[in-house]
Amino acid sequence: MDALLEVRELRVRFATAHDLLGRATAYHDAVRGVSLSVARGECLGIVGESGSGKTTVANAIVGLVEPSSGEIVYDGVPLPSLAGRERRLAGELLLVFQDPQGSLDPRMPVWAIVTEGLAIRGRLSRKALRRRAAELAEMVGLSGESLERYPHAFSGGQRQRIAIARALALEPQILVLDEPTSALDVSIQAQVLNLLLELQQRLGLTYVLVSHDISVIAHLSHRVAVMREGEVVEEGEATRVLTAPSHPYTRALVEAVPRVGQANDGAAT
Amino acid sequence: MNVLVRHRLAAAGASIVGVLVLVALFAPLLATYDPNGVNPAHILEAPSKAHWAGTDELGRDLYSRVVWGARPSLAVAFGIVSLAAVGGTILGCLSGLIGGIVDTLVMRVVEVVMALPGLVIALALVAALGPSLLNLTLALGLLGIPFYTRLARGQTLALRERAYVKAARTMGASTPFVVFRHIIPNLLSSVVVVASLGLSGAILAGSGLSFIGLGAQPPLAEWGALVNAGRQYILDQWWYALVPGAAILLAAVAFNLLGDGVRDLIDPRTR
Repeated sequence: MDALLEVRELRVRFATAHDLLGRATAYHDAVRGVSLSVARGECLGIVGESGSGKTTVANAIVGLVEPSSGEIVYDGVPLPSLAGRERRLAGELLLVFQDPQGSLDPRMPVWAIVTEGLAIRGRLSRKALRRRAAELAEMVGLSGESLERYPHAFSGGQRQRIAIARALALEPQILVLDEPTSALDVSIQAQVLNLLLELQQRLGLTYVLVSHDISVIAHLSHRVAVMREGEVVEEGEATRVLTAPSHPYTRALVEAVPRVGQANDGAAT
Repeated sequence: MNVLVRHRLAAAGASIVGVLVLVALFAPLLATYDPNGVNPAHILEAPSKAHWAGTDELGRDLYSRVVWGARPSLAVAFGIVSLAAVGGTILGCLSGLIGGIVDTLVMRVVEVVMALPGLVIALALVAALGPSLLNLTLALGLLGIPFYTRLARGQTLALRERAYVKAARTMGASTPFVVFRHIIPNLLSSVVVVASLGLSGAILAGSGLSFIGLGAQPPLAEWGALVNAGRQYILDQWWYALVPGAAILLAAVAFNLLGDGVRDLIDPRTR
């Protein structure tokens, strides 16, 4: 299968100290030569502990972080940094943020948040934007009345639905989901994950799912890449990696997942 | 403090400010005499039915002069704060967005200005430009800019890292789009709080400089200038200085209460 998105030898380093003139004097290598590929309509899960560089990879894909070297190839074309990306291209790869609290402007009503990407492109009247907002709300399971309200009136799960609707407004090819359910209650997590699954099937979206949570990864991903300290330590079919991990780190991650019904040997005795 | 009491104080502040603004707007209707009408037959009279607050050394009606004085006094206060808030917000926003050497330079200059004693510098500036209400407003307004610059810069730096700003950028938003849609609306609330608290300081500073003769020039009725004129009669005609002085005090207290109220209203932590 042809890759829709390819990450080639991506390296990202952050300056951690500066001299008096603002020149960097010390660095941290967050991502050290990561290569990944995602086929159209597929969901690639990136799993790893915090600090493993997975969020940095996600940010680099949507252009929020400048790679130090390596490239990101979308549909066969290497992507420039966000500043150099054309408007048209900017809407093709979008990020859904971890924290649905901070990712919605508290001073904007939901309809304006959801249609922001369209407003950036211009061309649509206020009326048309509102009509589109209603369609998007329905797509992600939000009621029509909620469009006039402000983000603070919503629960975490609803906010994440708003954030997803905002991304869908631009009809992107790829959604990068950065810990989309980590900030949510467990009971809400499944609802959001099922919504993402349904949207993928209905719209033929391609996902890059970043999470530290193996069960979230298992729920959505076709293939999985395991990251540790800025490198991919294992990559392969989701079922294979998650049931028969070959790398010891992956094994440790998988074994660390708590399961319902598993006996708690320590507490009973 | 009790929430209800705070609420009432803020409401009281807002109503007094409202009344003062109405007085300034409708001064011609509220004044009982021409504020500059000289009457040699009635000089330095005590408050009476004809002259509610007495008359001054030229026989002008003091009540009418204080009513008319609301105009320049409030205008100077609003002028100072508007100049400082608008100038400072623009400068701070740009400084935070551009960053790098521009930001460093702007912030160093701001720190230098903040380290100087404001009123003394304003005094020197007005003396150099020539004493007038306009020059006084300009000088005090310029010296107020650094406070708003720091505030707006800090807010800008924090806001541009917010996820919703990043989301807008990944959707192709230009910097002006982000600034006008996200950054300015979100930093405005803190600017409004500081500005409403700044009004009481501005009215005191403005009338203070007029008191020492650097602002309003005779025969213009301005509260600070009126207090100064009444100063030499304070032992015999004490109401002359007291009435405009009370107006200044009332305005300063009212602006302070209003500012506190606005802060409580906007800051969810104290709500």
